[in-house]
Amino acid sequence: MRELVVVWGQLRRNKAAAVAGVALALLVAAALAAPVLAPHDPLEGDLSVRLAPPVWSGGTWAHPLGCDQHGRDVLSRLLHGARVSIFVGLVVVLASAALGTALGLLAGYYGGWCDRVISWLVDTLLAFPYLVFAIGMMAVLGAGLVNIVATLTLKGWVPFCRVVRGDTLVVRTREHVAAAKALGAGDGYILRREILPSVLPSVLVLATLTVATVIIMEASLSFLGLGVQPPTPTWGGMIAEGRNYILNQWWLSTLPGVAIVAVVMSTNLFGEGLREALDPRLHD
Amino acid sequence: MLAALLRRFSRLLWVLAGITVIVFLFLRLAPGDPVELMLGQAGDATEAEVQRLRHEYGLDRPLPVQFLYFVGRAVRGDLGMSITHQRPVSRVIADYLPATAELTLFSLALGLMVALPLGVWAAMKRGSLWDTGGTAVTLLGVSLPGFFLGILLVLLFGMTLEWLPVSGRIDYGVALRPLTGFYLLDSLCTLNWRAFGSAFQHLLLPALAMGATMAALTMRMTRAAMLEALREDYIVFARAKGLSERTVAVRHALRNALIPVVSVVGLQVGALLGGNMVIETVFSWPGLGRLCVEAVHARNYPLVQGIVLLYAVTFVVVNLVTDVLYMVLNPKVRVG
Amino acid sequence: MDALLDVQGLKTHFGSGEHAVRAVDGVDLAVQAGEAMGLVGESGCGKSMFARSLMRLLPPNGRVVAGQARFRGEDLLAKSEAEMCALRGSEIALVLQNPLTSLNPTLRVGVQIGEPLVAHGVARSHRGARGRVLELMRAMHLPSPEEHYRQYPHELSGGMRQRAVIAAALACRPSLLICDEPTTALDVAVQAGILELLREIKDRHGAAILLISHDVAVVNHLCERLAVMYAGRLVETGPTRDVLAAPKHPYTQGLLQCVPRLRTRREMVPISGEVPDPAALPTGCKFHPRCPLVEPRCLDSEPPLAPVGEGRLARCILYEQGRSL
Repeated sequence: MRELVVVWGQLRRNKAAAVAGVALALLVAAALAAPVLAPHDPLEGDLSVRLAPPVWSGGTWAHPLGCDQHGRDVLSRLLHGARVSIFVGLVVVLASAALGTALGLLAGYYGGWCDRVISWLVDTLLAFPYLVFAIGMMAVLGAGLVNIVATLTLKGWVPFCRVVRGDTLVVRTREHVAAAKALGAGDGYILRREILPSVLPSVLVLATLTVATVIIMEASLSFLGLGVQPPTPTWGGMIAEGRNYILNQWWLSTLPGVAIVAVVMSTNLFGEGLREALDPRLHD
Repeated sequence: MLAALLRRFSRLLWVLAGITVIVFLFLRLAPGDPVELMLGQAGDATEAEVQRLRHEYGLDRPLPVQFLYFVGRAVRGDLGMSITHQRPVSRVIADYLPATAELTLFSLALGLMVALPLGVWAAMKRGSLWDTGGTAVTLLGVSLPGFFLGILLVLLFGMTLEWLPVSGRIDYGVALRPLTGFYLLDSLCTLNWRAFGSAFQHLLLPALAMGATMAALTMRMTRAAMLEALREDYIVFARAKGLSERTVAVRHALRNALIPVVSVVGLQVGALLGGNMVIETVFSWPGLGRLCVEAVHARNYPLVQGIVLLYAVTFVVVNLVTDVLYMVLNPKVRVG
Repeated sequence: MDALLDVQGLKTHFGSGEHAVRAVDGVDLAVQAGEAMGLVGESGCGKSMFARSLMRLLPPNGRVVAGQARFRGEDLLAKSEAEMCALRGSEIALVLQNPLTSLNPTLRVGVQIGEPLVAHGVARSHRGARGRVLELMRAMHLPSPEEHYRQYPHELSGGMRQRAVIAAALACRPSLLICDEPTTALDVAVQAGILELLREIKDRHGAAILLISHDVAVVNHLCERLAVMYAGRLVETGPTRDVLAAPKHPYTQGLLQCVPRLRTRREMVPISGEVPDPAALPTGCKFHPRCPLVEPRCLDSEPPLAPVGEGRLARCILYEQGRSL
């Protein structure tokens, strides 16, 4: 608990990270509140306002960010698209972190065959570029929310495993672990109470930065038509749909992209701030 | 060093084995019967023909045996038949490979040419406004999805300013004798300057979009490695000998900084290959990436997995090369 | 006769404001041409930073805030970076403590020795410098110079590496050689060889040497004069023989009592307490918390360096009024 207070103080001092953190919190809140916040139904189009421009380009406040080719309000779709991105980001990262940490602990602590098999799995999965792997899997599984989450998790756990394994190898030689063993502690206890806490800071930092990666992956897959299917709005999908109108209605593709960049940048800034705050302080 | 190399090679073999297993599983997981999918496009086939093909592809055998068949064929270059092309997958890949290879190499070169000098420069100008600006640009580079950057580039340079072309490899109507399939090389060899210029222009935007993230990460890494190197004692001693700041930076710091950067670049190639598929789609680049995406939509599983396998193997080989390069560059490993 | 190096009131601080670390807090030192001067003190007393200040090679957040360092009459601290570059390695050379980290692991030894020759225009290229480099290596008594020329630093032993470093430092025949703990990282057996080498350099090449060390025995071996440093200031100076025979400052006395001696059976008495934190120095005399002869007046003000004999100075309240111990 003490450490949390130190970290919090550290974070507050890093202005960029603090701003990013606040921005992220707002974005997540907006995404969660989308059904209430969005002025229109993202799926229903009013053809009379088809391709309406945003408010700064001659449009009305009824549709502040304009409408797409089906007359659907862009702002509403952006908000609902945020839900998909953030949901996928959080779930994939949580699952990947859990799986990766567990396997990393086992590999680092027990060594031997366990380590060799897990390391082989890690090396093999690392051989596939993330998006290539995702495309290959989605091709086979088919599009959809569950499939995306499963696919991205299947490769997402690997960095966590590597980091945790590395840290475990270091921590397991430390005195407090030897002391616990001497007192008769079982493996499970040691892993949970002696090693895991030392390893968590790295996991936390990696998790934050991975959210950014996952959001970009989801957007890329949606852009290629392999993600969550229309008519559910996704940022990547919106960019793809807007491509045909890029010349005159550039906002259709640009605004979702700006949203992605904003979220990813905030996540990266926050993650970097977290890393600085956690790094030398808790690692001795 | 020989021992280290041998160990590296054996790891490579295990990883190749693992890749093959995964791709094989992908194929088996695909919905529908592989044989029926293959024959489906060719019209009706008799039950006997189906059975014959099943036997030929070993589909009536247990899974591990099927895997061995798969490996045996893959090693010989047989990756199955492309359903939509009705041609062997390996042939189709060979046709489209030069386009992707040229784009990837050009992208890598462009990215490194930008990232390395900027990284060194940012380290030398540490703390200044330039350095802060550089860090901001790096952050942006890492946060921009490749396909979105591609679309922005298309919008800006292709449609608004109309400076550069946004699709294809070369202008329609420019004749070029295909020797290697690498348009830049081919045009140089035949002294076809018009083709060279056209091919170069077509490469610029996609390469920029593809390499931006990689360049940003490499620049950040180079800066960090340089700062690390500049803190070392031998830098103080080098300065004490009266060497100029430039000599100290380039001959002493950079040599040591490049060693970790080499490893990072190897990993970055993976990011390049990943982005390649979306970039080729955005720019209608006639390469393997776009082909793969089209194949996915067409449920052309053999082609999809053949391309996935190729990308994975390429990445593994690239990492091997960078690891060997690392060993060679690091004198402590080379001789010690 | 003007001193080759004449330092007055040198102050080097890290950081700024209240919590500035006063690494060097007002040092006056003179080194004559061809003379070997020792600078002695425990780790953390500021002697390394003193050397780096002279060369203007301080770490990023350190700066010289006061004083002058006249080399041949010209103030080093007032020179431009370009002028310093011209001086470094050609007129004034620096040898650092750890020869392994002083040399770039990715460059061959011979190239690194020849760099000053190329940088200062003595040789046109590394190839052109090779002859002189081999000569230097032989002068440093490095066996099989041709072989070692091609090797990398980690292939040489510690002693050989330090000889290579000294060779590089001497390449352009500097008139002042500053050695910062040149033997500390080496085995005892190898130390003697390096010290002999330094003596040879002094005698044969006439270079002045500023030898910085925490080891009094090392300084005794080579230097005619010595200065004792504590908490960023000098506390005693004088001819080596005289100072070691009859030290005047309590700190010097304490230092000498810590040194194990082979021939005399004497109790080793460590100085109580620890070297003060340069960011939080004691008031008055900096040594008073650890001084066995401390008086109440010692907390009030720091005494100046006062004469205590032929060419000797000591900073202690005992000598302020002409009293002696």
